[in-house]
Amino acid sequence: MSASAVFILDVKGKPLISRNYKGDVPMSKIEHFMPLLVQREEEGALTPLLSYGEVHFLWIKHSNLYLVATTLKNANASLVYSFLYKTIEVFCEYFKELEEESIRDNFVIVYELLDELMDFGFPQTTDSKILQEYITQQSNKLETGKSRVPPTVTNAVSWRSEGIKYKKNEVFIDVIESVNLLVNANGSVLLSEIVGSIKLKVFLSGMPELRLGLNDRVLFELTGRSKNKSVELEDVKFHQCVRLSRFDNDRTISFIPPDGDFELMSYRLSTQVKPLIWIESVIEKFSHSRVEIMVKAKGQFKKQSVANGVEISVPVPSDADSPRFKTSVGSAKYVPEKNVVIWSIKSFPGGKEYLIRAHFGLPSVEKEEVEGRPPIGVKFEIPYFTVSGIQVRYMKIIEKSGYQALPWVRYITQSGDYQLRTS
Amino acid sequence: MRHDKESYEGEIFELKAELNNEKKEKRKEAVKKVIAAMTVGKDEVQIEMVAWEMTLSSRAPDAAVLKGISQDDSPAALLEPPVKSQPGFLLLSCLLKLDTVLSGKSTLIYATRTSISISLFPDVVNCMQTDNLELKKLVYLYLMNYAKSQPDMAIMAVNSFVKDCEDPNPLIRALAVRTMGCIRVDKITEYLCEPLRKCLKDEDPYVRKTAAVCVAKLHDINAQMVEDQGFLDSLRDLIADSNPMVISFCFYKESNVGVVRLLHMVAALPQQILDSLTKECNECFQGKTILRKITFFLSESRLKFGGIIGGCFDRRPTSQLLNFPPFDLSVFLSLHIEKANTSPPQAPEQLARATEAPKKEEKLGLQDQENSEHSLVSLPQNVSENVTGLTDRVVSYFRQLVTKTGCVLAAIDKNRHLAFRCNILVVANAVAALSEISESHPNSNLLDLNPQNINKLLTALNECTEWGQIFILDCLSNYNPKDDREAQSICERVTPRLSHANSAVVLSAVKVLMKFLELLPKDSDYYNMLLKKLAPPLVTLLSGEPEVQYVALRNINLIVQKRPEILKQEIKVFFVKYNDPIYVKLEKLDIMIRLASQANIAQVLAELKEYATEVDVDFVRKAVRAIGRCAIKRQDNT
Repeated sequence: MSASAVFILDVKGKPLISRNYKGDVPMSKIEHFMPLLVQREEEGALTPLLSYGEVHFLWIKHSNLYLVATTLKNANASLVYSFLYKTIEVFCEYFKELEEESIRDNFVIVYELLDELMDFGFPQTTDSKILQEYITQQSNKLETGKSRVPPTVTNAVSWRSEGIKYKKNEVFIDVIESVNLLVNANGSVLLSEIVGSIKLKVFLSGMPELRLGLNDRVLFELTGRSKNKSVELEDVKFHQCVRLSRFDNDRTISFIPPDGDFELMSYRLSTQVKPLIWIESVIEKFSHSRVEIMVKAKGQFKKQSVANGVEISVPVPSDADSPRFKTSVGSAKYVPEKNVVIWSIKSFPGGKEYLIRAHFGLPSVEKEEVEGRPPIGVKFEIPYFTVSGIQVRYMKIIEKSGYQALPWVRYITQSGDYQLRTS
Repeated sequence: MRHDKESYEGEIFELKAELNNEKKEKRKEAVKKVIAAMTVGKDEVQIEMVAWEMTLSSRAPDAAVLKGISQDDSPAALLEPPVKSQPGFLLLSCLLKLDTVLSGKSTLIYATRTSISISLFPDVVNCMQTDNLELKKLVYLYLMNYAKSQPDMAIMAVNSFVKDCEDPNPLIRALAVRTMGCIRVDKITEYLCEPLRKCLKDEDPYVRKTAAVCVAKLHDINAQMVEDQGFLDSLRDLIADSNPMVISFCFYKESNVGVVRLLHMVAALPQQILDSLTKECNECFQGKTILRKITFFLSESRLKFGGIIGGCFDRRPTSQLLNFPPFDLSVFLSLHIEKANTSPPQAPEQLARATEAPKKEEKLGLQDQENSEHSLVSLPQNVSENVTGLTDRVVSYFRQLVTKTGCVLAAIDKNRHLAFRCNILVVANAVAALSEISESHPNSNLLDLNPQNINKLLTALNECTEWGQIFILDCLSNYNPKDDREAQSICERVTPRLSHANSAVVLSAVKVLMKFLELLPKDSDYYNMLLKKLAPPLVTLLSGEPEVQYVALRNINLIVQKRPEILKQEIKVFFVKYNDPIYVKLEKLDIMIRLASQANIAQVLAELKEYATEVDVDFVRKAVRAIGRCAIKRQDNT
């Protein structure tokens, strides 16, 4: 059904630690992993799934480590990948950073965790907050009455423990929208989507019942409200605490939250919006002598809003030299290791238009290999604003002890994968 | 701990010399140093060599050196946090560490490693008796690694295993049963049966869920035994290990939480009590809106509770009951009553034992609120020894409980987890284990997928952990609904999973839906709506991690071949981005060709033209070929 064994390998492919869950794949097979990976990489046919004979390796890379799961069967691959990513998440929660060193220093606890995360190839408890209740960095003595299985593990609410107490009950809601944009070289928008995420920071006592109200168009239609100022969410994904069948029935987002930080939901809209920051560029390359770059950036959002920390990275040839810039605002910096010019503008009000001119020299002897044409990338952040117009209408918090809790909401829009191809 | 290279090499040389020293004391010191070096993570080739020499030098008789270290407590503090500095702990960490460092090395090392293990095995087994949980875990890990090569040695550990399966701590019971399944030695499996049977009926869901997986492990080692011992039936029983919590969730948000909680208890009662209780409850809630819901609830709650409750109390000594708050007591008592109903002979005695507890508590003089509950709890004291007479008593007991919901509420909530745990995880694991087993018997209908069981699974689906949902969905995809109505009702209950954050859940749900779409009439509204619902989640999968994207794209490729209409509007999301990994690019390209149609051909060609001017030769070649394929594809029409 899923993984037979899980290995953590160092950057050279040497096993640091491994756990054999099913015993149907000889552990020595892992020796073939690295040579296979190198070979495929050379062939340019590298995939996240490599097969050696009848053994399949499903692998991901994290900093200087490879996490590899082996299987003989037609396993549920997406299950394995999400399990591996979850494993990384858990290790990071335990050791802050997951790398070779932290595995070596904590190998006992890594063994313990691997034992608890999966059994016979079936993922079990993977919530790091709950795991930390019974697998701790300090060793437990049984007589202290600790190191029992926390009831949460097998509870219906497997993500929140009982008896949490806060003096001040508060919830912080962050609505973060990232704009993904793909524009082709002649300036027409190929893809524009908004990926939103609602993150919660929960400081609430007891077992609170929360209900989140959004200006969701489907909900407004259901309840017969006017469609004005509502947003049509194309696809919504929820944290496991949200009751999905209720959402499916009447679009109510109701849940018992985990404690602390988590992502409650994410959504996607592919409604065409005007690109928030529009770039026009002219890159003229005079072979053997120079490159002239002109980039115009325009803020196409409301005048009251301001984009902060705008960074526009413009690609330049790798053999360019002697940069010269002229900017109407902000500062430009040549980053030779990435072959880009980064133009940063601290604050960029809506409706404004700025310009940069850059001049580079080119060597008279041209190098042989052809270069790709990386796109222009843009980074920005616009606070107090959502592109989609989504709004948190209410957050109801009900706990039987009847305390009053305050929800705080913050909106922010930022750049996601924002690419404009160059000609 | 960093040294410059030269002094480091010198150090290695010295270490090697010391390791081969005549004197045992010197060798011991050297081994300690090596272990210390390994522990701080200095994994240079030299260390390995030293470790290698160490294994050689500490061959058979000299394993005493390692042993000596483990009994010596002083160096332990040097290596591990103080709590872990127990004798034995170090020994095991050394062995495991050695193992980690040396794994995959030549057979010679393997042999010496084994020889060390043999001479140390008795000590390791001794460590099993410890009350330190971490040490115990290490011993178990060690056994897992070595038992296969040393089956005779492993037998030595059996006794401790069986003992641990009876431990009062559920964590240890689960650990023992989990490890025993991983020791793939035939001789051990014989001893596994009895403890496993007990654990399958354990009072703690954590143990039950582990035991469920263990059945699959056992089946892998010895399929015949699993069938002979009737473990498959026990697994099927576990599927019914569901819990009223599930049902209650639909009106969980009612302000009157207490009533809901109470109903959990009610649901656990046997049939005959339920029937009379229905009437009682109706009276209690006359005129209230909740009435309807309760009736619904009662009709839903006629789930069989199998043997779960059976084994629940034998283990718990009566004296321990005293430590439980009143509400739990009441739950326990009601369970006892049920037990009394199912197994009449022991009932009177057990009840008598159980009811002692509240009496004692009365003496302790509990105050206020608790007192009032307490009097409720003590009601069953009067329960006659006549089993048939129980029903009336229980009913009146519950009626009182219902009327005093208010005061029970607080206590209930304090101990919610003990009340009625949702054992959905147990269900999920049981399903997973059964699916795994049935993979090796393609023809047998092990899971016994009938509409009734499917319904149970669908109910469990709502409350499972994400992984449990995947097990259940994968299992559902093997089911053949008898007609389109059944297929539709399953689809309706699976569709909400498309909104799960875990991409594996989404893909498994898509798999089920794609399969059942076949059965739906093509012109029905539902069919078309479902098609529309499938596209957005598939598109969202493309914003995940590259590996997840890859799996999603491979699946989308198949979906597009089967039902191109689902994604025909979405071709733009398959446009290649500059920083996509090559495997994602190639998959996207292939899907683009498949989705190309009269309506979007201009756009697709413009994109392909763009790709054909990239630098990656391989990708360019594929892009050019794609243009050709599009041309061939369009030829028929234009």
